Amino acid sequence: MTIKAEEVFNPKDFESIKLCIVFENITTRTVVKENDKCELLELGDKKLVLSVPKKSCNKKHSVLIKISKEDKKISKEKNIELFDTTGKIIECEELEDSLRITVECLQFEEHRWNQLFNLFLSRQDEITNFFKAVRGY
Amino acid sequence: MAGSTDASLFEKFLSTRKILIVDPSSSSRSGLFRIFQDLGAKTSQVILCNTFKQAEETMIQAKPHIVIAEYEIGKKCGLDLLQSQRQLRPAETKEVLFLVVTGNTSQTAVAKAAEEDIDAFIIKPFTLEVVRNIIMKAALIKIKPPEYLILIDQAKAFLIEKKVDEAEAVLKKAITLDSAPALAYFYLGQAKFLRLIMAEAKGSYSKGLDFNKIHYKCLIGLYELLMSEKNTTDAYEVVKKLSQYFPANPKRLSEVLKLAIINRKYEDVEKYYSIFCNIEDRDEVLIKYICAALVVCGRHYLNIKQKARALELFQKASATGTGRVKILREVVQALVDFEMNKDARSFLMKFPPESQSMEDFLLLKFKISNLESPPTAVLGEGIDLMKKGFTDKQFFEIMLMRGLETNQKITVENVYNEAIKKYPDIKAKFDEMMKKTA
Repeated sequence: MTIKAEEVFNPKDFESIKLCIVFENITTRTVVKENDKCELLELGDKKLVLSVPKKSCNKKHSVLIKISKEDKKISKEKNIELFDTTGKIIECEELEDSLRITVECLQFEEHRWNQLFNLFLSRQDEITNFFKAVRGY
Repeated sequence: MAGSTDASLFEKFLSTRKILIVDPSSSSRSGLFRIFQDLGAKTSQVILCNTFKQAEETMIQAKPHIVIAEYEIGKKCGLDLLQSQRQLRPAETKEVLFLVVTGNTSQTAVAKAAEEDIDAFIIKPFTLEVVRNIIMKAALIKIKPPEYLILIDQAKAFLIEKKVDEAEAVLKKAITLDSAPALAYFYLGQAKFLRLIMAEAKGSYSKGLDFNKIHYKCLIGLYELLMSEKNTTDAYEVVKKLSQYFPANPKRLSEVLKLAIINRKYEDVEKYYSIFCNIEDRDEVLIKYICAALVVCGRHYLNIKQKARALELFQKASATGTGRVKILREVVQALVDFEMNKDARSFLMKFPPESQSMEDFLLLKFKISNLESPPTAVLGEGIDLMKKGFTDKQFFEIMLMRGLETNQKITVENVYNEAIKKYPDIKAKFDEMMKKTA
């Protein structure tokens, strides 16, 4: 067996996948637009786990989430849209500086969900393969 | 069946381990904490830290068995925790499971982590399934290593004890156990290196790379061996690959740049500049090296009369090293040496205002004046600089030349005396100048 460099190393991967998240609380009609205030932490079975600012939402609130990807090559302002969904907050944990919420996705396009899911899954696979090749086991 | 055995092994392993989670984000810490709870860890086993300092102190006091760190912890890198661990408890580091969980998915971060030989790199956002599998796989390699790795560990121990015959025998067996046994070939190369059979050591590393083109240890082994033989041409080819796959290592990039210059691969320097531009966390050393290489490259293009290309590289160097006077000084000096006074002046103007009364700036300004002003004006400017004590070798040469041209004997004598006082080692050169004109 031969491990070829091009199979585990893609120079295009030099750039991070940077997500921009717009978080709209439909129940309270408020929007969190600042990118650094929202972070996508986990992907579950049609569920998203996010870190959002304190007091921005509560359990059972309805929300609209828009996730896009920064693309430096296009423009700093123009992002590639990845996934939009409406959803309901099914878990809300209050932490010292943020809220950790679990959103059940309700209205969304299935292929967009898969796109988002696979984006990170495939990058994780690439990284794991790269590590394996570098170490040799 | 094997799956359930692995799961119970892992559960048993986890039940006695202390776990340290380091992440500035409370949401992330909380998520990772839950994952470990799901995996079977008790609350009392898990320590959460949100700063690097706190984590470093906890590592000393609590001696965790599993460390999960974010790549970016404030201004520090999570990987530095592993380095602290290696320094503080080198013997135990092998037993510690070190994982990075981060939203930074850049190749730079990944390559840096791979070089540090961490156990796993997990990207955010993740799925619980993925995290569970990765942690379990990483732990199982420690708990129940495959025969191949057991033999390699044995060989390593033999090599440390300088029992090279025994190490080789074990490694030959290991080679038969893996479909791409690059790691075994690396240690075989080390064994040959210990025996001082360099050709065979080289052969072993190369064989390892035949199986796995990206094997870090084989690439490093081969590179170091070639450098020890002063074979800079072949060493350059190896380090070129290393810097392509592991670009974020400033030491390596500086080596590759140095070798590129030695091997006159000036076009490659421009490629490394592109790699450099894609690196997200560039440190001062890296900036210094890339700028220096661009300037050397630019000089080369001036030598072969490709002025436009040279200027392009100088622009890149000055943009990359914004505000760094040393870089600008080298650029302007190169342009002065090639009598490109107009370009030299435009780069001189890039000096930050606060450095425009300093020696470097004034000397360069004087040298540009020498290219475009009448000798008497140059001498006047030069005398002012001498009074301030701002001189260098080229300054004295210019002053002597202009003084002799305009027959200003007293000035020439003063300049000559100052020159030989400051540079007695090149007195002969100054004497020659005086003689020629006489």
